[in-house]
Amino acid sequence: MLEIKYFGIVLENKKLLITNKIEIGNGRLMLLFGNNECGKSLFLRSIHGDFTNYEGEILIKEKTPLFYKKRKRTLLIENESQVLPSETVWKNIILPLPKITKRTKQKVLDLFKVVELENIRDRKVKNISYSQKKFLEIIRAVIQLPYLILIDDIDNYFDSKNMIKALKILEYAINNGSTVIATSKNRIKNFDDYFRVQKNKVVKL
Amino acid sequence: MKKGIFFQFIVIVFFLILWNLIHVGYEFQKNQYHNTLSSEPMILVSQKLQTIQRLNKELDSLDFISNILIESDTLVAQKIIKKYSLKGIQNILSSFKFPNAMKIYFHGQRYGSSEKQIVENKITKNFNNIILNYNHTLWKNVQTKLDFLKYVYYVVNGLIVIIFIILSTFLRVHYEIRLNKFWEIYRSSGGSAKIRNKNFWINSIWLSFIPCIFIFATYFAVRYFKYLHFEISYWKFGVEFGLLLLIVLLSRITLGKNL
Repeated sequence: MLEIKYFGIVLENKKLLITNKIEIGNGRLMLLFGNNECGKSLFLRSIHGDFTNYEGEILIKEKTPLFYKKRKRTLLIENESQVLPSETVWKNIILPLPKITKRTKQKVLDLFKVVELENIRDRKVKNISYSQKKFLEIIRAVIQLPYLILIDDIDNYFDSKNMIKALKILEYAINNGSTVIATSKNRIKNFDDYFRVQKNKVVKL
Repeated sequence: MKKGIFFQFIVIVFFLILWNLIHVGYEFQKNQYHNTLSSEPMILVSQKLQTIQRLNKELDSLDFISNILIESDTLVAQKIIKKYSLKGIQNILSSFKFPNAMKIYFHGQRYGSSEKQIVENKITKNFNNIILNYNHTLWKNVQTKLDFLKYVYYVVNGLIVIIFIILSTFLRVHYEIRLNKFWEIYRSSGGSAKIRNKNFWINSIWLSFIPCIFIFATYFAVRYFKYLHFEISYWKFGVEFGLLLLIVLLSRITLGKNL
């Protein structure tokens, strides 16, 4: 599904995240962890097709990242929440969906239950917590079942309890063939594949 | 329909109503001036009835003349007797030879300076024994007023067009730019990139076709129920519609890659 060859982010005469080869299959949960400013976010943005200043090649199902970005088959959840503060939680969830089937609605409600959001679905997003916003974004991405879900700093707003809930939500997408690539500063339990950034190089653990 | 689009719709309809009221006002005033000209006849007097009849034949083909009345000498005498109650001296009056008169009524809207010249040339060149009596000062005053009215009408139309283009384009562009953040979130959350563009054109229909249809239908209703006695030329509605399309085009060009 995802193939990265001879990759390296070029940034002001520095090369970050150097790797010869990374291969991730369908329905995998991958974590890339490392310290601040090691290039984790740029790595995700490169896969998403937003950042192009890199060496090497990124292929998603043998196509360039831009191909899937345009078709909304790769979704990036950045550190800063991309939500409409004046709209309700429900409106934010269904925002990108062209139509809402009964099945989708039921699935969203099920996922709401997992993260205990069912009571605040009609609340405006400006009145919910950061962790709830992050849950909202993850649910919104998961119900679209894209090829790739990219999550920057996945544990940023979550405590260990909420982290387990977030992984439970992601399970739905993984079971349906989506691949999740997340970044973090620390190693988090329950991921399938772990990669660590060490001295500007990516090491598979 | 979103509030912002509804507000723009109201502004556009308001402008179109205002613009059409200017058309109506112009037509009304022009009509008044033309009626003044139509009701003022040119009176020709001649001793010979034949001369008058010959002139009548010549003028008959001119399309800017609405009506010609010929009053023969006997009719003139009868009118004088009736008007001044001179029945007692009817016999004395009937022995007098009165001149024959001809009244020419014009279509005010078609009676311009070239038409006036045609009539006067026909009379003075071929019929020099005819006395011509016409209120030239009134005709000249009406023409001056018509010219001024036309000038004011064009200036006001020009101003309306400029203000309309600037205001509507600004409102549209401002509305779309205000939505930039929404669309950014929409796209980053997985929404289709084409929807914004599609949305722009759907809103454009609301802001061009619908106001024009509304104004056109209102005009027909007002005409049907006889509240309006003047016609507004269809091409003027065409110009209004064209201007709305131009505003849509200008907005699209101004927005560029924002959409």
